[in-house]
Amino acid sequence: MVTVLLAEDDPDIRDLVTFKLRQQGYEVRAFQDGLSALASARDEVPDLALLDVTMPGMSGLDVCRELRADPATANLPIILLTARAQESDIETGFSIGADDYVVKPFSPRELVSRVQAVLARIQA
Amino acid sequence: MTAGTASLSGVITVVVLILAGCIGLLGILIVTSRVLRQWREHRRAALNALTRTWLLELATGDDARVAEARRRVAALDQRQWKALEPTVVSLLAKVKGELRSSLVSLFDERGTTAHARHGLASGGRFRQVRRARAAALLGSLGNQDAWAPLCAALEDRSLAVRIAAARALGQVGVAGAARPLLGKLAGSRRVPSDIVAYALIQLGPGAQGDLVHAVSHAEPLVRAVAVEILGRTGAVSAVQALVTVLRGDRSEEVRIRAARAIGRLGTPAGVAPLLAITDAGEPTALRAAAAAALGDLGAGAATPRLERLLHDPAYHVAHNAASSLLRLGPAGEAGLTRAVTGGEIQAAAHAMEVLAIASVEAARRPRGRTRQATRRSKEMHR
Repeated sequence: MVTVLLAEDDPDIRDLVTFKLRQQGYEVRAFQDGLSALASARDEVPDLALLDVTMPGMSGLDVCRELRADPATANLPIILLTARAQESDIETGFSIGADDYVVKPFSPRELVSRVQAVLARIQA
Repeated sequence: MTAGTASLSGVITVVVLILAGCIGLLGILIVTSRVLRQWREHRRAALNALTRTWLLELATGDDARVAEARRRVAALDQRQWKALEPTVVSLLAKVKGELRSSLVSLFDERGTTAHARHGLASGGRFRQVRRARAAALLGSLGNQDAWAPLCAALEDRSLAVRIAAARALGQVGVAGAARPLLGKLAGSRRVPSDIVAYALIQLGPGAQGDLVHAVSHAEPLVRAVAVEILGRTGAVSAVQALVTVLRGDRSEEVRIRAARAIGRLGTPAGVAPLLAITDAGEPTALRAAAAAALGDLGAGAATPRLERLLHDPAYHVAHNAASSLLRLGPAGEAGLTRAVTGGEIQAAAHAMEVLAIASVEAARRPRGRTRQATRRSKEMHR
């Protein structure tokens, strides 16, 4: 089963994304902060990481940077979740190695499509 | 002990007892209110535990399950709906597409939308919270039918209601709200400029006509906000209006914002006016803004002028010129290298500083993904 690591501090979005991805047959490991998500990724490397850019403490960008710096997770596909007002963060995200981004508010269907597309691109 | 001393002692005892009683009563009140609050939160959580699952099922995309979840949520009694409503309102701002439409129609079916419109029209000083909440809900729902009543609410005597109405108008996104929103930056019953600016940005390209008109408004704040938004929303057709502001506005602050806006727009028509502003006769802060804007704009033709500005006695002008040269690519970097070896200490210092920062940032970028990241970044800007 494909495992998705999710780091999102907003419980509504975290529950929604978890629910939707599980409906699609993915195993989801959800965390409310970046540090826990990073620890989980180091314990067991997931197939894809979905990271919210803005989280208290360690941000999604920080987690992305750490994952890219570690050889074990350097090639892990990463999608950033970002608010519309933070589009400058998207550029920073790409510069540190994110594979794609989804702007909030988002359609749950669109999010699943992005996850599938990134996984397909990596496997190709 | 004298009679007077005994009397004083009695008074002190009574005062101490009264104080102790007050403290005890206050303690009981605090504990009771906390217990009540916890009890209410537990009750709400218990009510939400089941209904939240139905709400999430609305997002499954499986038509049969969505229909069943919708039926269940629509049939909730008033107590259950009241507990769930904050979650639904919160979700409205976080999702789009079918799920959002589905959530909005829930409010219509339950009569909540009509109730909010009624609440927005309710008069009286003591109903301002109701009016503000109604405006906020109509905004969250993106209820376009409510844009005219929301514009009227911008004139409310309560600042909270006016702020809620301005935010809601941005969320509703009807371009006709631009002029009433801009009007709230001047005169009586104003709305804070950051609230108005964000709402105007949300209105999108349809508001550009009113924004261009506003750059010649009598009030400097109105002009400044209009200029800022035109730059931030990529209104390239407004570049000539912005150039006019850059050249001749009465306010230096408005001119500085116009320089930044022209830089962000990135059109060739902005190059010559920005270069002209870097002349020594203009105010220093404006010249510094123009030097930075030339880098934002990416004007290769500005390279010789920016190289000369490295020698400018005004620190910010020279520093911004160096940063801009770096952003101009190989031609700009060649200019910086010439400044480093040119022998003039100040110009060399500015050039060395930005080149050093650039080399540190380049070293921090992960190798092997740089090309992909650059391609993605270009796609994003396209």
